[in-house]
Amino acid sequence: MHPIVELYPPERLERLERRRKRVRLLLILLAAAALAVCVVLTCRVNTRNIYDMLLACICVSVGTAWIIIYFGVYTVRDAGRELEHARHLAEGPRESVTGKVTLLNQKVRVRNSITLRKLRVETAKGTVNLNIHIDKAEALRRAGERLTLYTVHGYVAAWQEAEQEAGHADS
Amino acid sequence: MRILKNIWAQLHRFVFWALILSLLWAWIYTFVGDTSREKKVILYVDAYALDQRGLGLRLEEECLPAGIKMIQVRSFGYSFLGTELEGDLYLMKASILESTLTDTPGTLAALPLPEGMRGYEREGKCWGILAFDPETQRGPAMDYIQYAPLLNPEQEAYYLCIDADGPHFSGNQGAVDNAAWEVGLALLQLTSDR
Repeated sequence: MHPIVELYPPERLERLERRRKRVRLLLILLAAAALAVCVVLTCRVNTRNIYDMLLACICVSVGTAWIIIYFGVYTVRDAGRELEHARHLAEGPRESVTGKVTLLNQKVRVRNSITLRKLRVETAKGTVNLNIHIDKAEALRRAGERLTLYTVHGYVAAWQEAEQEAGHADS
Repeated sequence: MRILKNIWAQLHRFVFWALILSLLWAWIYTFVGDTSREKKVILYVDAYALDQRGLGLRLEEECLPAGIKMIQVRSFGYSFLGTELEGDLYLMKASILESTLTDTPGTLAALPLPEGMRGYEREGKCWGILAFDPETQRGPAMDYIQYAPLLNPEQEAYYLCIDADGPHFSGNQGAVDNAAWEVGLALLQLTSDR
């Protein structure tokens, strides 16, 4: 019997949550520091250096804004969406389906949520279409063709290598 | 590669915030770089070309009267924007001075004429002090003010006048000091470095 590989194990979710909070705090501190620098620069303005100070304030604030946007989007926001997705999967009823798994090149970007990749499972009863978090799709591909997938509302939450003789589908 | 791809995907946000922050700081600095009317002397110059910032800084170096934080130099182009000219000093052509005195009497203050200087006189009063003389083609602050197009010498004189409502001329009602007069004299004595 092969082990079940959970896509969202609790320890990973905890780590993700901690990282998200830490990065968010760092970004808030960075924004506060940038604001403080701009205030100091503004307080040192005189008629001779006003344009230099204006340029410095613009550079500091725009640079900080870009850093905040980058990490805010790709660390804080994406982690938050993944956590929400994982919680959604943990709460729902779990089903299993076994068969030949084919990852499709079709990506679905759900508004205000994660980006999904479509996959097709060919079971003894027919074909089932499912979705998986795009970052987890590669691991699933490496796992092999015949798999048992544990799903919640059509989203893959875990997988297990299927026995060779298990050629039928459960649902 | 992935970082570049991520940046490309968020380019609209980067551009949007760069624009917003630049405009915001420019707006904030219009207040930061300004001061109340009582603490600044405003000079309007009607010239072909003018280094406003350079002339302002030079005048501040030469003469910053007590209680004055800033000398602002503006082009007459401001009036084209529909802004009412609220200056203390005006450096204008003789023809503009004439029409101002005729069309809007009471706009300019009568001045005492300093010794050794020539003025624009009408009805026994001096309304402007000669700044640019077309005969010699010389005038004050020629490093900052271009009185005539390069290939076409100016045939008209420029006069320095003082606003009749400004708070910085002791001859005006409600004046707080005589800073405009001091700055005006400093301007007239500003020789060219060339």
